This record gives sequence, structure tokens and C-alpha cells, in this order.
Amino acid sequence: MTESFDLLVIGAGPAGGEAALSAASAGLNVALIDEGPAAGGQVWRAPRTAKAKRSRAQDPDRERGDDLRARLAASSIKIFYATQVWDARPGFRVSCVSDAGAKELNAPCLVLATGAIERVLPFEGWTTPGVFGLAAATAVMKAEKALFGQDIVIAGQGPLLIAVAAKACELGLRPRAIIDRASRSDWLRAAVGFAGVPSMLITGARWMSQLALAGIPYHRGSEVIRANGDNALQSIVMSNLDSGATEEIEADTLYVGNGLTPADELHRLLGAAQTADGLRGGYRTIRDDRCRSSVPNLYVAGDGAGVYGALPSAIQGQIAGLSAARDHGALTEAQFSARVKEPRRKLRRLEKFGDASCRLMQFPQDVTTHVSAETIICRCEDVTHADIHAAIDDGAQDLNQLKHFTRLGMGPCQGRMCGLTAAAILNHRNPGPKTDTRLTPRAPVRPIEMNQLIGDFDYDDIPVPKPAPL
Amino acid sequence: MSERLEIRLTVNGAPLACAVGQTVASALLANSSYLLRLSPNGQTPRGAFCMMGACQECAIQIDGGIRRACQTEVRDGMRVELRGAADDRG
Ligand SMILES: Cc1cc2nc3c(=O)[nH]c(=O)nc-3n(C[C@H](O)[C@H](O)[C@H](O)COP(=O)(O)OP(=O)(O)OC[C@H]3O[C@@H](n4cnc5c(N)ncnc54)[C@H](O)[C@@H]3O)c2cc1C
Ligand code: FES
Repeated sequence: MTESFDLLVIGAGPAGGEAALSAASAGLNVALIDEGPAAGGQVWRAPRTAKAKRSRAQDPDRERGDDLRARLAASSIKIFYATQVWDARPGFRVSCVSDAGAKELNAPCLVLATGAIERVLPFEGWTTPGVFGLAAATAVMKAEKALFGQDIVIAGQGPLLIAVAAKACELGLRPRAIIDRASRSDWLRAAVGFAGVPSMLITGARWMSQLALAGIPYHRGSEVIRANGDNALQSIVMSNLDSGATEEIEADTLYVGNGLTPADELHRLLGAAQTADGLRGGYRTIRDDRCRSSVPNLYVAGDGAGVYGALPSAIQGQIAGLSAARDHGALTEAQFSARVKEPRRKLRRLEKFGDASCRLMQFPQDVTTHVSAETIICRCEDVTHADIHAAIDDGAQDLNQLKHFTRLGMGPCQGRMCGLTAAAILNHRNPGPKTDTRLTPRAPVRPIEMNQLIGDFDYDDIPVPKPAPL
Repeated sequence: MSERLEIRLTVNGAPLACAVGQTVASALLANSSYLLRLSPNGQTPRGAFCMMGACQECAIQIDGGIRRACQTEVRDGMRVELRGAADDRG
């Protein structure tokens, strides 16, 4: 099945939702695609269970999400939920799959608003069931107003760490420990950047004081170095980054994360130019002040192009939608300029906050020097730290070679979980000019099964060509 | 946790009650069922990890196909098997 539109938007988070709305308000015929069951993305995720829907707790993210969902429902936008995009080709032709089968959507303009994924620094035993990303905790708390585990440890770095810990306390849980890679002075340095956005500073300070009041042990400048357990987590070992002193803590559930990185497979697949992001680590997609990428009629907005956080993402989305409407001819240059003026002003102020948060999630380049040889780096293919060093010894110089030598990044996650870590190991081993440490993206960007593409069919459905006349 | 458990699915043939709107992964986790499958190469135990559709650690047999448990909403009568794509143990 093929359908055509003026504009396709991939991702219905703050960026994609606002992009679709602003383009539709300018008169474009827009389709919006998201693999989730509702709009909102990561941060404005919709509640899913009755308990979460009933929750009256004051929650600005829920309110913003409800508002976005209401505006989308009242709009003319054609929305495809529970639909995964697995390929995008120039022109643009976007291939999707849902429970109903395969779909092709076409449009001359495309906005990519695919959001971020979480980085987790590997440590011994991080594949043990019971070890989760920090993002997992926020996703479950937003959708279900619940969090799994009895003896919970929350660890990692960055704003998400404090947010998860504070929200867990609000649910009445008492984490056994919070383990923060950042030191007190890291936080103070970041606070200077947060000062541009007082509401954020206040929220952060309130969370910190809630944790202090609850008396949860807070270990600064420390990290988890081992998870013990076989079929289920039993304990974790924490190490102080300065002294190296270790402590074992019993836990059945660990939530750990080290910041966010763009989910940019589609950006790279379509050839949008990128640049190394010194502050955030990894790469971001180059865009001009109209959110246009280097590929004509391809627009990028939100964390998928570079991680700045929820509010900047929403505004970038607005700008991208208006920009597409302008290039499509639905707005004159004067109308466009008038409409982007206010969003651009807000964006300049908010992006400072994004930079400050990123300082707290800076990805250390020597992250794996202390990681044991047996530690799994690529979870899908069970490629260990030792395997990677062996491949480098044998001559692997970039990620693609490492992939061919070890199968790293070849499994179903396609290097999402291991790419940055493997790149850090490569760069650490090969000092000097940095090589391009990205995997070449390939479709499908999501694993799909043949029967999903083909759908249910009867033999009668198979077209049989008329026999040629003899 | 006064959630009404209105949906019934089976996990390796055994019944599991869960709430409307839960994902298969969260229904299993709420029931302390953390182990989902073994990794295909190293045969090491794995459970859900990212809960946002990215890592594929939760890809198990659901109604006869491999689906991400963290992205699949529970449905009455759903059949869940705790094994992955390359996992042929019974
Ligand atoms: C788990 C998590 C929690 C976060 N919590 C906060 C928070 O509390 N506060 C804050 O300021 N920031 C938070 N962030 C940062 C947050 O991601 C951004 O600030 C904000 O959500 C970015 O908006 P976005 O629209 O760019 O992306 P997202 O909100 O991530 O939306 C992207 C959407 O694209 C969809 N998508 C991606 N790829 C595909 C595909 N191939 N096919 C179909 N659909 C696809 C996804 O399903 C998703 O809904 C969080 C990030 C994560 C990952
Ligand atoms: S837990 Fe990562 S994809 Fe489901």
C-alpha cells in the first residue's frame, strides 16, 4: 500500500509533533509516523495503564504531552501510530511496518525527529537480567506509574539520574543507593548554565533536596563496576573514581545510564552531513537556522539531530515544520519570517541549558581502560573487550573493520548499544588524528520479519500471470 | 498497587494476569520474571534492558513471531514463549 503526502514526519515526540502541527497549520498535507502507541515521545510519554491515567500528581511533562496529543487529534494530520520506519530513500520514500503489514509513504519533504537513545558504559555483568538503563525507569514510570524491583540502585550521570531517583521516591520507593559519576564541582559548574533557565534550576534543586530529605545514600564521584548474579541480579559493586575504594551493595534491580545520544540511523542513511560533537561526544547532524540538513528538503529537529532536551526539541520542530511549508510554497518568505521570529528567540535562550546538561553527561574517552577483558561490549553478538583489542591488534582501524573482524554491531540492535563504546576504545588505542568512528548505516534500521512485510495472505492472493498464448 | 488485572496471557503455557495497557515486558517484570532468553552466541541469560525499543534484548516469541516485549501491548489470550530468535530450546 502506498500513500502520498506533502510532508512526512518521523517521530511524534516534542520535535516531530510540533513539526507536523506547524506544517499542517500552514496548509501542508502531513503524515506523522511513530512506533509508539501515542504521541509524546520519551519525555511527554502518554500514560498507558489505568493507574497511570488516574494519577493526579502534578506533572508538567504529562500536561505538555496531553496538550500535544489533543492538538494532534484535532488536526488534519494523518497519524500512523504503532508503525516502525525501517527504511527511507531519497525522494522521499519511507518504508514502514505495523501489525497490519507493510506500508510505503511518499512525500517531497521529510522531517526526521527520531529522538535520542541512552548510552550505558559497559561494566562486568551488565547483561545480567535486572540491570536496566535509566531511560527504562523513566519510560516505565511515565507509562505505568510503577517501577520494578525491591532493592533498587540508581546509577550513572546527568540530569536523568536525579530525575529518576526523585520520581522513584515520589512513588514511595526507597532506592538503596544513588551512585553519581559526577562530583559536586561538576554539578556546580553545570549549574552556571542552568541559571539561564530558572525553572529548570528550581526543579533540579527541588529533586536534590527531596533525595536528601528521604535520606537516600548518595555516592558522588563513583560508578558501578560489576553486577553479580546469574539469571538474576544479586548485588552490585561500586567504586570511588578517585580512591578506587569498592563497596558491594545487595540489589535485585539496577537502573544505570550515562547520558543520551542521537538516534540518527535515518539521518545517516539519507546522507545528511554530520559533525563530531565535542561537548556531547558522538556526532550531530548539521542543520541551518531553518532546521534544514545538507540534503535538500530533508529537515532535522529534536534530540535526533543533537541532544538539547525537550523544550528546544519542540521549538526546533516548530521551525522545521514552518521551514518545510516555506520550501513547499505554502508560506511566503515574509510569512515564514514573521512566524519563526518568536520560536528562534526562545530557542537561543534554551539551548544554553542543553549545553549545561550535556556537560554532566560528557562521555569520558578513556571509559573502558578499567573494564575487564571478559566484559561484553556488544550485547547482541557477545563480543568482549578482549575480542575488540585482539581485532585492533590484527589491524582493525575503524568501526566498520571492527564489525567485520568481530561481528560487533551486526546483531539486531545494529550497534546502537555498543557503537560509541567501541569508538572510544578505538580512539584510545589509536591516538592521533581521529578516524571516522561511525558504523555505515544500512536498512532495515529496525529488525523485521519477512511475514511482517508480507502480512497474511492466501494462495488466491498471489497474482498468477496469464499464460502466454501458445 | 490496586491495579485490576483483567488480561490473561500465557507464558510458556502458564497463565499470567496483567493490566490493560501494560507491555509484555512490564507484565513479566511486575511478576519478577526478569530472565527472558539466552544470548545466541554466548548463551548468557538476558532480560529487558532499555525498555524503549532500541536494544532488542527483549525480542522473544509472542503469538508465534519474534516481537520486542517492551513495545508489545498485552492482549487477552496472547501466547508468550521465553525464547529468542536463535533459541531453539523447547
Ligand atoms: C527515556 C528518556 C527519558 C527522558 N526524560 C527527559 C525528561 O524527563 N526531561 C527532559 O527534558 N528530557 C528528557 N529526555 C530527553 C528527551 O529525549 C528529549 O528532551 C525529548 O524527548 C526529545 O524530543 P524529540 O521529539 O527529539 O524525541 P523523542 O521524544 O525521543 O521522540 C522521538 C520519537 O520518534 C519515534 N521513532 C524513532 N525512530 C523511529 C522509527 N524508526 N520508526 C518510528 N518511530 C520512530 C520514537 O518512538 C519517539 O516517539 C529523555 C530521553 C529519554 C531517552
Ligand atoms: S528492552 Fe530494549 S528493545 Fe525492549
